[in-house]
Amino acid sequence: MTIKKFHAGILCFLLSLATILCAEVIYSENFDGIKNGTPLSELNWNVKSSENQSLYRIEDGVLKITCLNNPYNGGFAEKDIPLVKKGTLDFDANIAMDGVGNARGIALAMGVYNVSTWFHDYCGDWRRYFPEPPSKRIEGFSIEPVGHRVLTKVDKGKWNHYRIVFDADAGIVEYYCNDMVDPVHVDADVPVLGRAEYMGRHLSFASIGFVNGPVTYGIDNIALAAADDSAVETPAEKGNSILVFQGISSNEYRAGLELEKLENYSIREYWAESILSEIPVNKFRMGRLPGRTTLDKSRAIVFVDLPLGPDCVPDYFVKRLEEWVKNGGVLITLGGPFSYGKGQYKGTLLEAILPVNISGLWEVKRASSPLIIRPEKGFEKLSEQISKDNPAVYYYHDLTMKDGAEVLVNSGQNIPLWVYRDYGKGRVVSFTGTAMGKTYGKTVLISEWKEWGEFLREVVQWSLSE
Amino acid sequence: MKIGRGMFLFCIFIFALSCSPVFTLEVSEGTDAFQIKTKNFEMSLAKTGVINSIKPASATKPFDTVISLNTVECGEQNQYSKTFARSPVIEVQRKLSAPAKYNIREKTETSAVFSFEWEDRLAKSTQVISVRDDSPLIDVSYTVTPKTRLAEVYVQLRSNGFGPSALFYPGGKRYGANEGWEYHSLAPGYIFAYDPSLKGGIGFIVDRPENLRSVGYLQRGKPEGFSGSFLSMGAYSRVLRWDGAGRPVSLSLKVVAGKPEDAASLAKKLLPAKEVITVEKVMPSKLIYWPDEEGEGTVALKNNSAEKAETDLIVQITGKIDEKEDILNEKVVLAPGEEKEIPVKWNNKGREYGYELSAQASKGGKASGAGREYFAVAEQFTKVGHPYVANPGWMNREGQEGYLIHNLRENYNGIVEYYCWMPDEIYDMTPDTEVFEPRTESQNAYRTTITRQFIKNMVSLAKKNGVRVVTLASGFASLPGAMQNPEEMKYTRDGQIYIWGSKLHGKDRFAVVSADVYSEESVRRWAQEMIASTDMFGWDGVRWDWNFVPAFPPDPLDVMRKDEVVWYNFEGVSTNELFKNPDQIAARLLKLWREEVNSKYPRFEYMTNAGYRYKLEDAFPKYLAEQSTKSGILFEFLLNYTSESQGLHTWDRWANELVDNTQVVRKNGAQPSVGWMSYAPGGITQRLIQFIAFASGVHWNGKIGPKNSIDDGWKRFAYSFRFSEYFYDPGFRKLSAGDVTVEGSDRILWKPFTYGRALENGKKEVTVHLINLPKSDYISMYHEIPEIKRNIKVSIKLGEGEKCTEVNALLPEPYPHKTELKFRNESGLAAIDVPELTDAAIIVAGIGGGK
Repeated sequence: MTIKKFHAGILCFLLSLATILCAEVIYSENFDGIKNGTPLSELNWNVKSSENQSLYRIEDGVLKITCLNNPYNGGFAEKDIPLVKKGTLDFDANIAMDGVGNARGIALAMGVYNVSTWFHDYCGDWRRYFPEPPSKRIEGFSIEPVGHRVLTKVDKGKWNHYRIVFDADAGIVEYYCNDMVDPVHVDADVPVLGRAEYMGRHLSFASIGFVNGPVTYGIDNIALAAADDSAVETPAEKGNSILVFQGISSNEYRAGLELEKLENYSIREYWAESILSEIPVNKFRMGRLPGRTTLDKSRAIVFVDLPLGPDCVPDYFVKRLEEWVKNGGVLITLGGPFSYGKGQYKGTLLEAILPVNISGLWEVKRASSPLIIRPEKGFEKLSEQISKDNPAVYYYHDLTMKDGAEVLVNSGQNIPLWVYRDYGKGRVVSFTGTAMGKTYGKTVLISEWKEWGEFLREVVQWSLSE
Repeated sequence: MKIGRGMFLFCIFIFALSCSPVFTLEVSEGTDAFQIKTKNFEMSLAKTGVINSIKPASATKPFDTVISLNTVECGEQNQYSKTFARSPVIEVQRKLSAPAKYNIREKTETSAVFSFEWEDRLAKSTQVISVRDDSPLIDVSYTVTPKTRLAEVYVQLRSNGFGPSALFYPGGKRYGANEGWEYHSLAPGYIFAYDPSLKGGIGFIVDRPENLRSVGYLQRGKPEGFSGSFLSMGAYSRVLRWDGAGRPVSLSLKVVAGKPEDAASLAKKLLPAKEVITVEKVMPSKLIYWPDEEGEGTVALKNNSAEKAETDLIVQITGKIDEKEDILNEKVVLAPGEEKEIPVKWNNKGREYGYELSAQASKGGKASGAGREYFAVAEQFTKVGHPYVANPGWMNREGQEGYLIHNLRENYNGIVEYYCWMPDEIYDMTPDTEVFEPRTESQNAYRTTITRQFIKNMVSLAKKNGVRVVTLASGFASLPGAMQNPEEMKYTRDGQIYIWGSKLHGKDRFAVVSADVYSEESVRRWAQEMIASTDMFGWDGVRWDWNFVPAFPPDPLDVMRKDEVVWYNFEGVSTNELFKNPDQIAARLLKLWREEVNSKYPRFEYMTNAGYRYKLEDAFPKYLAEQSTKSGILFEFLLNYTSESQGLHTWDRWANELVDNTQVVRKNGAQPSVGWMSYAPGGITQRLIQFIAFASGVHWNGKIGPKNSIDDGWKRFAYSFRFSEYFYDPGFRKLSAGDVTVEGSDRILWKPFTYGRALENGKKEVTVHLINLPKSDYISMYHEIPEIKRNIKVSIKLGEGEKCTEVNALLPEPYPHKTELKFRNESGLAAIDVPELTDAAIIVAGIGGGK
């Protein structure tokens, strides 16, 4: 199978996927069957470029764009497309397929409506480029500052598949590269169709012109599809995936590892990362977040001592999460020094759906004596082991239960440790203990208990089955 | 029997054939290489000029050799550009993408001469290779015409073909090391690697040392903790930085193939003859002795003649400026070719700072051989050593300690800091398992494993060699430590445990957490953990990268960001409420920690990173006093000599900063160091920043290259080590401006370096350090060699009744030594004549008679 055919195969797959997702392909071009050397203008593209800027021609069923050294004045080609407020744009690109030795800067740019992306040849990545959201505006300026952000690393000389999923009304754009399950990046509050300045109903390729000499880029399998809005209103049929958001106590809880032992479920993990901070303010970010489709099709989500902030989980995702639970998802939250009141949950949509009221920044307390778990529902097969091992919590979030919340697992001191509450068609289960402290006396720290994994699996299965 | 005519002619033919020479030199040309066969070896010579393989006649199979030329760019910028010297471009002949322009210049039945010519980014090079049928030698010569300034060129043999039992000759020893740590012997000389399992070997003889400085060699394999078997040897040029572009440099060496005795015999024939008796080695058993340790050493003599020989041997110790003490004086008789080791002993009681152990062999009053080496005696080892930092990211395998300690000893470093190795820098300095993982700030970059045995081996070997080993403590808890001890962590304003840095290695989360350990209970427990770690590993001290001041950020470099660093305890109480007098708290806690550790290990030395640039003596006087009491202080904040904004970018500015800060910490006996500085080895910048650091009373913190390599730092390290008393005695305090004047050239740096100290009986010493400057004031750039300054006049103001009694110059080259200077006492001044200044000198004036 040639690369070209391989990508045609991908396109077929995507088209079928689009069909499944009730999407309508409204423009596509795979350049097959077109005579070599045909200028792009003959395919009704508007090419605004001279010979010393950039060249656009079809060869071997691929659009080849040759960028020449002409900084900030490299010319462009655009195609008028219908206005789609919510949809996907797919394309294949081969960065610096010829002239890689000249690829020392930035050249190829690709845009749809007001969403612009470009390829940084020197840094070897794909970036997005558009006005920053209002929240990032510089104080005192009404004009939005322009920003760019690295989306993902890209190898030169290889075909990769790209997808941009946009929702103009929600202001959300998801960017995918090769892995079509989870985006490499998601932007919220994006002016897809522009605010102060509207770029028009165009799909465009351009040259920014920072090259040492001619560099050729390959483009293929372009497909613009409009999402069917009615499909979004209907909750997607749930699959068998559990999404584990690994927060800072990930080593202690080992949730991903333990839940992988659940039969009939697949686990996908998303990791909170911490960045160097020389002063006492933590800096977090999520390495990746699930895309809309992945989220909609998941059965359960586990937050493992996950901080929402500073700057960790974006607001748009919390909003999606709240909708997802309301539509039947199961959210399980595990406590620690970076969750609940310590995870900046206060005042968020996440707090609204939890079964507990957040106390504040200093809500974690040391238990005066170990809080040995006492299940109030289920866990029959572990009851003997619980009595024998005394799995306990030493530090806990001192929280109150919301109306309608119920206790799943209590403690000997009557401090509830696992509580739950139904929310819409879904449910939220919260562990208010932590994995902090050292095993002592005749108890064992719950996360170090040899049955911890089994216990966690029981919690998940109970949450899903009820 | 009648012999027929035909038979007669046949016999004549056979006889003639047997009497004629048998020519075996064969040369065949393939697509990419020539195959050459002589009586002594077979060789594959690539058309790039690279010798790919050699099979000595004695060997069972060929060695892959890859003998090729390496050309190294200078790397120093022509002008100051606020950056360090860049990593040089290195052009390597073996990486030529196409054959060189080649030619068989000569081909007879007994000899062949090949020539190659190529051009790369740095130079145009030609190479001539000559082989003779009757010789085990391959003559190889190069002419390199630089297109730009070069640092050096070297011919290197790299091979994976030698087995683990291979040894280097002369000596028949394994020289194990990783690349960058090779062993160097000065040219002329030879090096030969022999693999007994293959019954063959290959080596270099450098008999024409013009333009060649040294032969360098190493082997690496299981004994050094590496997989596989790698061997390298090279012939290295002199430093070429000052040759400029266009000036050709020629190198010539001989490749020898065969057995060790062949190489030894050829070397003896080709290399310059040695004296009848030579001092082969002078070696104290340790680099740094404790004052209550007896000194021991060895002097090795060799009779290089075929007859019995005798010599008068005098072994001396020289200390202070030039105080000599004979420790051995005896006649030694040596059998033909004999090498004899003579043990020597001495008492170190009452000694301090650096000493020379020297041996002089003579016959009838005529010197026949000499040798010298240096050692020091110190209770506070930071007075004499230069700390080096070994990182477990690349120094963690059993076997590596051998070349580490060898290098530190040869270069007179004397102190090694083992960096970021602990499972937890507060709660676990005593790993429970033999193999363990560090969880420190370094794991924000990489993950590694260490064995306890490696650390024990390293410490043990260091102690045997008189090298002190200190552990780093950067004061961070590991993430598991933080989770287990949440009430001892620092919290952010958001109520979260404060994570300083973090990294995901696969699905394992590594992070370091800043801890709230500012209570006596915590500090005592912390000190006990250090004691336990010292019980386990035998540390000589610790270097903190952390402050006991509670309102500081974790890294001492961030000291003045204190307004940004309010943190909270577990209950949410802020530092402003918790610590009303941070200076007093810090001083008390540090004193407590030191006393606690010293109660079990009195010699355990405290070293710390400190940022004094902000005049901390005003903000934290009590803490600074405790911190600088007989300690080692790292001036990490002064390392950036490229920084214009910090005002460290010229010779005198950097020197003044170093001196000013040294004078602050010297009050209480601290020994400062500065590091890690980047530099181009063997350049003027390197030379001068080391002289300036030492003249400022500051030790070097960091690595220098192997002894006799292009990096000549070892010479200055020897100078500062031998004369450590005159560089580092805290008694030397800076004199007032006007007490000393120096005339004769405005390109001598001396003003920051005028010191005086009081001696017994009312005497005193004044030191003036002179450093010969190049034309430019900027540190970080290329410099020509400063011209020798002559007829320098040094004047020292004398107090009432004072007279100068003695003046000496302490000089670094060719080895640390003193020379007496002429002086006059006139008009209240000591007027000293310094005839010339090549690179640096300490002028030491003894003064007496004052009130």
